[in-house]
Amino acid sequence: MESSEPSESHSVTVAVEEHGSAIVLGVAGELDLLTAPKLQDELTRALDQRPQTLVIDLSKVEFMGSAGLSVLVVAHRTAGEHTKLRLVAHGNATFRPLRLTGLDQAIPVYRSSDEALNAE
Amino acid sequence: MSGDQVGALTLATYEALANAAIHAYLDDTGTFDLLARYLPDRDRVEVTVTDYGRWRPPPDDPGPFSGRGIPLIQALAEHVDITRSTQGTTVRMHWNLGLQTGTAKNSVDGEEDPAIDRRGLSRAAAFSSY
Repeated sequence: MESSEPSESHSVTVAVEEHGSAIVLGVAGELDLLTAPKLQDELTRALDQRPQTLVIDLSKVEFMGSAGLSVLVVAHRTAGEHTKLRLVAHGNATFRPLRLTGLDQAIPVYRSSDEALNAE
Repeated sequence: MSGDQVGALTLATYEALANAAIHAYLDDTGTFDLLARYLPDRDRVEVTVTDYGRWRPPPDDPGPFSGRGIPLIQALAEHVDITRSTQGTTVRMHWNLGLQTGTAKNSVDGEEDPAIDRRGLSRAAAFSSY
């Protein structure tokens, strides 16, 4: 029953993995108004290292609202020319809001982090 | 309701509640009403979010974190009405159960619905300014 505790059910975790010149952020949980700033902090930290590629893996995200989308927009803008920003998303919780807002046309979306890392 | 519709309803309702919390009660506390009901004669589920605050006009530069909730609601719901007055704001959304139109058949992993792609493209304007 511990998963029904508010602090457990309403949270987001970000796992940071380095793959050579690439960084993969594995995001899990719910990306909403309250948790989006945490991803924002992790993205800022990762982009400060100026990796060639930054993959944001959203495949373990169960809910993503407009606050989460906005964090991705800011990351896309901050990444600029130096860092290639890539997303991993599939399923209704993440891919649908990306597609409905047209953000999938600004940031490339892949089905797995391997695919995102190996993409040209 | 289909799984797609449930997901759309959940996210759209969240966004409507978030808007009420941010825009109506940013500097204050307040209450809002959430009404969800099934209308059998229309075979429709209707969700209404009503707040009693006054939405602040958007600033000239709303910043990167703002302005995506309403476009998202408009893309997720099969129909949206937003009514603003000095007494508060009402967001009324609905989804039709019988008619497999709009969001009902927008399976992300399944067949693509051209209608939603057009809406997706029009939504892209929401991001064009960054």
